[in-house]
Amino acid sequence: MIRSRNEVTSMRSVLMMLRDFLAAVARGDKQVFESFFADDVIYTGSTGVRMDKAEIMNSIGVHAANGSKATYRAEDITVHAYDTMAVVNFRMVMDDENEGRRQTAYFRNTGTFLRRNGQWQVVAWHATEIPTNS
Amino acid sequence: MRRATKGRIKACTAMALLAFWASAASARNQQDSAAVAAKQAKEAKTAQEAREPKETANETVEQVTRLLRDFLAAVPRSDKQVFDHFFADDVIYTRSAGVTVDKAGIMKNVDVRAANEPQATYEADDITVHPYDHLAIVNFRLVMHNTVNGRQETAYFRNTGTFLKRNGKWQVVAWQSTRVPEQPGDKRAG
Repeated sequence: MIRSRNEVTSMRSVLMMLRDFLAAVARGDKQVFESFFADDVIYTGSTGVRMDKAEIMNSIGVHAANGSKATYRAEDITVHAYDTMAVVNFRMVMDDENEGRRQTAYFRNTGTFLRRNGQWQVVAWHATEIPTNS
Repeated sequence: MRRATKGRIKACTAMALLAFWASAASARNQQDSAAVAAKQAKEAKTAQEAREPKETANETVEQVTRLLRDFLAAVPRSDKQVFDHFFADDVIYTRSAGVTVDKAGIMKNVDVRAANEPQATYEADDITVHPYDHLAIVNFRLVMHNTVNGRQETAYFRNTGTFLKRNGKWQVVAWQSTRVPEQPGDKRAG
């Protein structure tokens, strides 16, 4: 498949953002969440609950309060870049520790990124947990 | 954070330069201010254009909502043409089981769904549409009514669709579904 230079640049930008974001989630870095998600984002968590930006920002504190040591990474990533928007689909791997035991959970995520004023941000995000037996 | 640091460095540098070039600052500042104002005006105009589609936002909302409702009404007929028009060739579709398929996978599943759930009907409620120029995000709760062993059952799924307008035609380029438990509980990450 032949891709334009713009497409390649867009793909690189959103991939870099995704990796930086996942690395920052474990730290609960509010500034990273703030710039990653657009103010008008529609976010659907793996429990099927929809959240807006304010609810996403509030959930960061909840994770920190729970003392979560979870780390996140992306694999099996697909990016479709279109002019000023891009769709990113990937499997998110969450490694966590519960009572000294390592636990891993998998989620399939789709993010829609939009570039406005030269800045890429997520305007839609949707997560679905992948059952461990699949 | 990197941007904030850069911003601080730029601000410090600008202040130092202003102190050093005090005598020439006035004239240059006027030019700089004019340039900054022009740049800001251009950026504001670009942002405005990005928010305001050529057709009004309301029209986009109406169009994609109608497309969604027509599609859901047509699903029980298992009309492959409807699926073919609704989903773009490059769609990325993630089912509620967490499996991602392409357009070919969607088309193949039309017959599977018809065989497994011949009496199922679908409707959308709690619909939110965010329109942007040639892009629209649609989030809604899918309600599936089905009859299993003579008993009526209802299941709920939260769906997000990304619609893209190309050559005057809206099509779905991304779709994901998550089953909604009867009592949604924790908002854990995912």
